[in-house]
Amino acid sequence: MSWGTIVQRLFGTKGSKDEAKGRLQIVLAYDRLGLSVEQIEALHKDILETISRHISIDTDPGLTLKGKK
Amino acid sequence: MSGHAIVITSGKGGVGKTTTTANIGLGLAKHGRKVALVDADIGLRNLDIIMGLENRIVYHLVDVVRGRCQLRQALVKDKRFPHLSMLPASQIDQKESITPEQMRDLTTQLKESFDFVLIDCPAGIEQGFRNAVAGADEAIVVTTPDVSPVRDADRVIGLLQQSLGEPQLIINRMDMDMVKRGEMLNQQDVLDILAVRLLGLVPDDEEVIIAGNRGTPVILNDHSRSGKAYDRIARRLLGEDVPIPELDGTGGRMHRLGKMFFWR
Repeated sequence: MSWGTIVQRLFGTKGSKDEAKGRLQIVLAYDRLGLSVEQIEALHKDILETISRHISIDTDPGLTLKGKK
Repeated sequence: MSGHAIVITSGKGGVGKTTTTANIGLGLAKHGRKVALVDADIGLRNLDIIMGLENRIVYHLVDVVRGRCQLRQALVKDKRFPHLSMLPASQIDQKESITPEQMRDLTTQLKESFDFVLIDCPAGIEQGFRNAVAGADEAIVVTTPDVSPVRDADRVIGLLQQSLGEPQLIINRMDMDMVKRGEMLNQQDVLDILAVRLLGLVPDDEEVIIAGNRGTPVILNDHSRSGKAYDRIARRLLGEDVPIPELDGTGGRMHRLGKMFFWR
């Protein structure tokens, strides 16, 4: 066990590797789909429409995808 | 008023081109310059994840070249430094989907709005390399002090001399303990072989890996030795006369222990 690991256990701090893994999983999910901008925009629109059928959505422009018309 | 375009290249993959591009770019932005980072590695983009900007991409370089969007729509602004923007590579196209002429036009356009345009070149010396170099005014070659990267750097330096002129060199991942033991090429050995101007030395530093994990380049960590080295490199590019210090060892166990308790 390295000194770093001991200190992490002692103080309960988390290393950066979980952050790396999480970021990679998201990036790779996108990469593997190979979606175009149009497809992502269409998906985004469909998801918003589906959700808005059940709950009201704040259409604050800050929440919408950049690049969306 | 036109900016200055610098391509960061190496020949060999995995020596730290993207890390170098990210850190020098942030360094120049920290010193108040307007900087655009261009990921020219079409099909294998990585600058976005190193910069921590991967979730903010909408359009990319190939979209701009194809006219599918405006250049400013594809530029991702770094919220930490409003002066800094990144133009991501496409992940689904091929290197051949753009030409050196298109890359030159794009770089010219970027130079109108930015003081510095840093182009992260793909590994290799084929079309991706030719594209990345096409719009640049000068080149930085990154190597590590190992035999194969130095050999590939020599090949790339030869190619650059025919087009852009003399590049500057960054030696990355210097392990001074190994240098002291005589088990690693030192800076003079590398310079004897490559005969180019040295822009900087960057020590081998585990903080670079942690910075990559987090998407916050190491220059943003005031305590890291490699971050300080990148800051010196940025200042040299701004014309400041910053001497290249003799790197000290990575420190024995006591040094690291002290660092752990007092700096973290």
